[in-house]
Order: sequence, then C-alpha cells, then structure tokens
Amino acid sequence: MGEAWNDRQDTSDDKSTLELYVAGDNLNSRRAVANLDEVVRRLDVKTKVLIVDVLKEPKTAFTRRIFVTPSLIYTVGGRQNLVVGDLSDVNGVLEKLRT
Amino acid sequence: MVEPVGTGTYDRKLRTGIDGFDCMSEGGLPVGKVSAVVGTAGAGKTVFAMQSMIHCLRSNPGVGVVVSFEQSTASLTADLASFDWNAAELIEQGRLIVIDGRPRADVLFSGAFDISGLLAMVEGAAAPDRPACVVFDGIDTLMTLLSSSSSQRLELLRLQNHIQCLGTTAILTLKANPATSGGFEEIALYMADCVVEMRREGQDSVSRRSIWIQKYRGSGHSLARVPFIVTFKGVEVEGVDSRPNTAQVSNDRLSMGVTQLDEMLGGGLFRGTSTLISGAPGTAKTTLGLAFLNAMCQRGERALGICFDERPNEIVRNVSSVGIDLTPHIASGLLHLHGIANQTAGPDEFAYEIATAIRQHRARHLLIDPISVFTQEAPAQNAVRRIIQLCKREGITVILTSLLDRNALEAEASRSYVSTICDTWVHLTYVIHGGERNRALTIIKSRGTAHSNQVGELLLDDNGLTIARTYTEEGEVLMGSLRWQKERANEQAIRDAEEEAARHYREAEQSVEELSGRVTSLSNELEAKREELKRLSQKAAMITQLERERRSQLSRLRSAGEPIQQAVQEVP
Repeated sequence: MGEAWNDRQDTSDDKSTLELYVAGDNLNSRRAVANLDEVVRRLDVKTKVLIVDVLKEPKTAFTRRIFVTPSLIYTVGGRQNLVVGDLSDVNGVLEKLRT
Repeated sequence: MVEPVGTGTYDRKLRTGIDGFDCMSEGGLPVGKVSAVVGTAGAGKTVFAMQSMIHCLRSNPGVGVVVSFEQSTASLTADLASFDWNAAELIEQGRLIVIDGRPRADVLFSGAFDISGLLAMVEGAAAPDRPACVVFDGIDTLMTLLSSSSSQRLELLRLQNHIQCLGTTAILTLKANPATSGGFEEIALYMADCVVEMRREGQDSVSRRSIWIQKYRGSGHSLARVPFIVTFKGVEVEGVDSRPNTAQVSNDRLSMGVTQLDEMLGGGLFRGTSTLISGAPGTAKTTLGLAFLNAMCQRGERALGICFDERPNEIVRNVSSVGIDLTPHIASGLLHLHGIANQTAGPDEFAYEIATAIRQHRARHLLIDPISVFTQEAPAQNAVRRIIQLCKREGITVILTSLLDRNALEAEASRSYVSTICDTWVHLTYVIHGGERNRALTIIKSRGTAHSNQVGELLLDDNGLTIARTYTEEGEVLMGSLRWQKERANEQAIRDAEEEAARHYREAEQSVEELSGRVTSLSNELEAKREELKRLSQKAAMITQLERERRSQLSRLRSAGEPIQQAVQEVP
C-alpha cells in the first residue's frame, strides 16, 4: 500500500490511521477527500492518513473488504471504526471516531 | 475464458447444470451479463445461484466470487457442504472466493456513497484474472442502504455496466417483497438481462417450489412455471422437454399376464401406452399390475414398480400366493420394486423420485401403485401428467392403479383426470349378491382397440389370475357361486336336452320301424286279401256255372221232352 500513503499529519505517530477508500475522481470522492481534511484537522489525535482509489487498486478493496465508496476506516488501539459516505456530516464523523 | 454454450438466437449461454432449467432457458444463463434470481424467502435462490456458479467453475477455468450479504462465510460454506458439489475443494484451490458482505452494525452513514467498492473488490478478488462468475447473494440488503430510489437505480446501472465491461457472468439474488414493489426490485428486474423467479408456497401441509423465467433478453425460453425440488444435488427441475414427441407409435401388443383379459383387450396393451386400473380397496389392482410386470419380465424386458402402500418384500410375498413369483426377476435385475421412502413428500418430489428411478433402472415398463397418492389438486395432477408424458416420450408402457372409495365411475372421472389421459381404463368393482362379494372387471376404454364390453369376473387362485365370463340372468350378472351354480345348471340343462333329444330320436326311430313293419304286414295282408278276392271271384264264377248247369239239368229232369232235349243240346 506504500505509494498510497499520504501524510497529512505527523507520520511519527502510528498508533492511529485513517484510511479513505474512494472510487475514481467523482463527486463523492472529491467531497470525501475535502471533508476528510476537515476531520483530520479537527481530530485531536495524531493520525496517519491513507487515501486509496479502489478502481486503481481492486486487490486492496478485496483485502480490506470495501463494499461501498467512499469508506473511511479509522484504526485506533486495535479497534476499527467504519464510516460510509462522503463524510458530509463532519461533526457526526468526529463524534463516531472519538467513541 | 468462459466457454459459451447454447443454441438458437442467443448463442452465448452458460449452462447451470440444472438440466431442467437449461432446457427451459434453451441453454442456461447469459454469458457476460447480469441475471437476477428473485423470490420469496426459502425459495432456493442461493442454492440456484451457487449451483450455477459451481457448475460454471467445474466446466470452465477461472475464479468465482460470491458476496453474501445475508450470511457469514462460515455459514455459507457450511450450506455449500450439504450438497454434493465438493465446494470445499474449489475454496481450497482458491477458485471459489466467499466474501462476507453483511453490513456492519456499528457503521456510520454520512452522506452519499456508491457501490464501486463492491465492484472493485470483486475484480480484486480474482486478480490478475477477471472472475469467471460472480454471485451477489441478497443484494437487496446492500441496496436498502442506499438512501433514494434514484441512487438505487444509478447503482444498479453501475453494476450492470461494470459487469459487462468485465465480461463476467453475474447472478444477483434478491428477495421479492410485494409490499415494496416499485422499489429497486423492479429496477433490478428491468436492468437484468435474464430474470428467474423462484417461489415457495405452502399447500396442504406440503410446501411447493416453482421456477419460471420472467424475462430473457434476446433468447427464447419456456413460459411455464415449473415445479422444482431441492435435493442433495441442489435444485432439480424436472426435464421440461419442449421438443415435439417423436417417439415411435408401436403396434406391438403386450400381454397383461391374464389370457382372458388380453382377449378382452383385443390382444393386449399397446406398447408405450398408459393404463389406469381403478377400483375399490382389495379389488386386486396391485396384483393385476404386478401380473403385467411379471409378464414383461418373462419377455426379458426391464420393469419397474413404484410402491407407495406396501414395502417391496411384502408385495413379493403377497403376490406369490396367487402364483406370481417375482423373485427370479428381481434376482436377475430385470425387475426393480421401488418403495417410496418419504411418504410425506409433495407431488413434485414423488414425480422426481419416480423419474429418477425410471432412468436409473432403464425401465421399459412401469407400474405406479397407486397413482391416487397424487391428490386431485392441480399441482399433483401436473406431476402425474409429467410422469405420463415422460413415459410416452420414452416409449415406456405404464400402468397406474387408482384407489376409489366409492364404486361410482363418475366420481373417478371427476376426481382425477388421469382417466382421461390414460389410453386404457380397466375398472374393478365388488359385486355383492347372494351373500358373497366378487370382483367384477370391465374395460371402460381402450384407445385403438376393439375391446370387450362384457363384465368379467376376476378370479384369484394359487395358479394365478383368470377372468370368467359372467352370466346374465334376467338382466342380472351372476358371479361367484351363483355363476358356478348357473354354469353347472346350464351344463345339466344341456345334458338333459341332449338326452331328451336322443330319446325322442330313438322313439321316432322306433315308430318308423314299427310303422314300416306295419306297412309290410298290411301290404302282405292286402296281397292275401287280393289273392282271396281273386280266388273268391273265380269260385263265384264257378259256382254260378255249376248252379246254372244244375238248374238246367234239374229242369231237364223235371220236364221230359224238348226242354230236356234243349238242355241236352245246350250242354255239349
């Protein structure tokens, strides 16, 4: 997944990661990426951010079991949170990620 | 990658391995297209889809991907293991990939999304090749996550487009819910190139399943709703053979094993025809049917008996008491008696089991004892019709026994239409008269045969079955000991008449003899009388002469002279 890593924040803290799976460059993908920026900015935890285009990397979509796009997987402390959609409800997403 | 098969206008088809369905669809599902399997819960949609996919993987190279939106991988794998498809082997080889697609309970939905992930995932699962076949099992579950019907429509079109680009064959299964029709189900049905509907419905404590093709773009297909069953082999749809029946019509007459009955039937049954033997309990329907099978085995032809009521070994024992020994035929393998194990199954299961038994035994002659286990409801009657059609097509001679509680024929005719489709109908009744119960046999119909209109009495004894001609006495048919009495009485009467005639002859002969004797004696007498008459007449003449002479002499003596002279002169 190397080249897909996209550091938005401090990469030294690998305790948590945010993986955003999108399908090509469509409206949902662009909205999701933009909303993810805000989420990352407002999230008070340092996290790794990864954006994957499933159309380019179907194998990853299979291994990560991505059914719908955009999908955001937040891994922290061995737990995973899943958010589906273009993340338009940033407050809701933040609330979900903090639980 | 996928070998296209099929015939007709649509020349790229993927066989499902379900013979009946491949027949209905004229070759199977469309290759490189989306097929939708819709139906109620428990109809067998998943079985159909998985069976088709596994058959595809067995006959083609490549990888199959199944995404199950309703059950876990473990659960689906366990389900697959209950069929004889050896799916575990395919999974082990990595040729069958099972993905758990159940939505996670803790997922947060935030804004718009689409199913590109699913399509990418399926592609990724089979990478670097394209998947040969994809199953989305219970895709309605995924679709309901989409907020609006317009996005559902959009996603289904995306799916269709993607599948066509991939060139893979996709099978979607979805639950049909009439309450929410107008939703994505309808869109799915419009979108799919082939729509198969499967239905399960309860009826008389037996649930029935049926399958039909709702649409098939660019291909001919059967319009019929066809019953199917699910066995360890998966979905089994009975062969719906749309080819015209080209089976040869035979003029070969087959003995029913009862000489007199063959005579009544104008020489026996035609090969490849169907015969109904109806009658009240105990009228020897089974025995008559087995007599036929016995006769066929004696000809060296393969025969099959389907027994619902009795176990095969009971049947063998019971008919041995009337001189029919089936054991050598069973030992030689010519005869197979197939007991139906599951008595509670539905008509379609029965029909399937019978069809399978016919194939396995390569039977040329069939007895179903009794056919009346099939009720008069339409589905059961359809099952019967399919069995008879199969037999007609294969040139199998079939005998069906049917139990009747009442003696009325009208009741039989209305109860089941079997009697109308059978070529020959033999009816057995009890006739109770003179303190006894006897079996009466009539042939109600026999197509293409100048059959007897007489009622026969069916007799069973150690030596087998015979039919006695019954006697009509003042409009009443006599049977049993009355018939015996009548037969004896008739024999006596004939003997009496013969004796009487002989006596009359003798008497007449005597009279003739006597009369001719009398004639002889009378003619003798007559002759004697004539002789006497002659004698008498001569005597009379002589007497007259003598008298005249005496008189003349006397007159001469009384008067001398001339008169005496004259008299002397007169006598020279």
